[in-house]
Amino acid sequence: MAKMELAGQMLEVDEHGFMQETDKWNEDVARAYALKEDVKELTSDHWKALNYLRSYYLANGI
Amino acid sequence: MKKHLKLNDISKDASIQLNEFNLDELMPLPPPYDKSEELPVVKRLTTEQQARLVSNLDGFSALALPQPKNKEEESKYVRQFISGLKKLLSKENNWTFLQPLLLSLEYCARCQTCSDACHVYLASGKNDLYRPTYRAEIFRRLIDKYVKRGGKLATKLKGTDIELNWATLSRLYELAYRCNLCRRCAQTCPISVDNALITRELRKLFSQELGWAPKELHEKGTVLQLDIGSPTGMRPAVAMDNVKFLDEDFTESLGIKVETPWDKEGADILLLHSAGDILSFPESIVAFTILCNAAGINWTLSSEAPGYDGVNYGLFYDDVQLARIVTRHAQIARKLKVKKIVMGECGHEHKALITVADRLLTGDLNIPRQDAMTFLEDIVFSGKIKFDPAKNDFPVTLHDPCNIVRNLGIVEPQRRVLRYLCPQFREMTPHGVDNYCCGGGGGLSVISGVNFTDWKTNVSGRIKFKQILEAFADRPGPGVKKYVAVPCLNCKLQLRDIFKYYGAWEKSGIRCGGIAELIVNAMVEIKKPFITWSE
Repeated sequence: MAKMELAGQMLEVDEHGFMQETDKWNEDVARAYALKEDVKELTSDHWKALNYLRSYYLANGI
Repeated sequence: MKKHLKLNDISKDASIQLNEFNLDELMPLPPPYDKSEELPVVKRLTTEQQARLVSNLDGFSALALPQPKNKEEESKYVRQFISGLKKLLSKENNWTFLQPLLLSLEYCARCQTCSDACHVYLASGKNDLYRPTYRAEIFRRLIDKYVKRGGKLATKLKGTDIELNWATLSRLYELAYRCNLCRRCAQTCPISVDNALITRELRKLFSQELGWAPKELHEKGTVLQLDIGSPTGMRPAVAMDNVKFLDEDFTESLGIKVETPWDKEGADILLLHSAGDILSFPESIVAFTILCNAAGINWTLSSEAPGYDGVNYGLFYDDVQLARIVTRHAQIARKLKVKKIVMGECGHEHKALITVADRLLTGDLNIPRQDAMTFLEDIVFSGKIKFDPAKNDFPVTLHDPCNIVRNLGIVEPQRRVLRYLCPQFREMTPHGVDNYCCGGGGGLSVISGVNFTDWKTNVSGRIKFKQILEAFADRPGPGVKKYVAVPCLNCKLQLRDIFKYYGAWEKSGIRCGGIAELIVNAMVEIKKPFITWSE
């Protein structure tokens, strides 16, 4: 299993960099990922989309 | 200068890559795709990945195989492989495919005619590594040495012994996933030796005996499907919710009632889509709903897991999973008391559920199954729907999914439909049963591995891309929008990857989609265009 440093922790990721332990997510992790995509600040629109997708995933597994 | 490979190079130094990927060696593509500086850089493994994972074949990793912990682990796998080899050649353990496997192993004349028929071998610039015979001959020699009585001495005397060590094992595992199982080699062979079958049986050995299989096919594939209903990750409620959204969305945008029936007991037909279309090519799902309703067919989908997803990845690598999924599909159809199962536009589903299933389904599980091509043809020519072919007045070509066309011989019904409904339909060269694989066959389409997509777009998909460009050579450029009709989701996914990699939409205006969408696009009743040109 690969590991990546995000928001000061070493987290388990797959070979494409996606988190495997979803319970370790927090807003700092989201910001760390955003920086990797050259997004320096997450706006309220970003958070709306992020939170919607995350809650859909937690409810439905996809 | 490309070096020629020897068969026993496979067993040399496990830490060295057997073959270096070199863009200049590959078959050239027509302009504007002939300038390598304009193409994305091929993704390589990072230093961290190279330390943690095995990539000793060709610089690509489809399987993310971890480095072994110690020599004991390596020996364990070697022992398991030999035990698996013996089982593969025994009637008790391999009653499914033993006979064609033995015939293919025994009768190869080593004439190499198959290599010249292979799209991977040709696209690679005739790299020995990708010959259908390279892995098959290694396999034969391992059997001769480790399974046949007196093999160790006999092969030493003949000079054909290959050592089964970690290098051989790890390379053979990756190499088994450099073949699309398309059967073009088997079709071309003068005596029908089937190198694709040998490759597939090799994958089965790894999976059933060593527990080695790509996670996209196994853990997130057949296992997930048997657990929750679909390798897409959609549980029944999610699939139904998505289709309901599509029904509502298209009812609003098209101005006709689009409504998909679920779990209708006693219906004539259970339609079995590849559920991935719901997420990746939703117009295909909607098109089938529109056509079945407009033709007055008594049909239904099933929401019982896995009755809404017709894929069966077991076909690609594992008989146990294959049988389990086939059985579940048939049980669901029996419980719903439908008269027939009809396939959606999914290639391998056709082969798994129509042909292979014939050997597994007996008694009342042996429910009639029909292919999508004749199903769509019957609808189009039934007289129940009015069509105006002028609505499809743009260049269209047809890709032939290997499992439907070459493997099942269903060639003409889809062509009668396209000739009728698409005034600018043209064949690619070659076509029909001689067509080339899209490069995503054998499950490769859904395997991204570490950097495997770049191998699929550069090597296994290369000839298909060339064929498409040549089929549209009379109307090049992005100004004319062009449609590749592809009646198979895995092929569409592979083509989408290829078009994205090369920028085919921006540079040439090419997109792909199913046949059902083209049929709906020609319906007189629907005033708005069904096919929207966006990719």
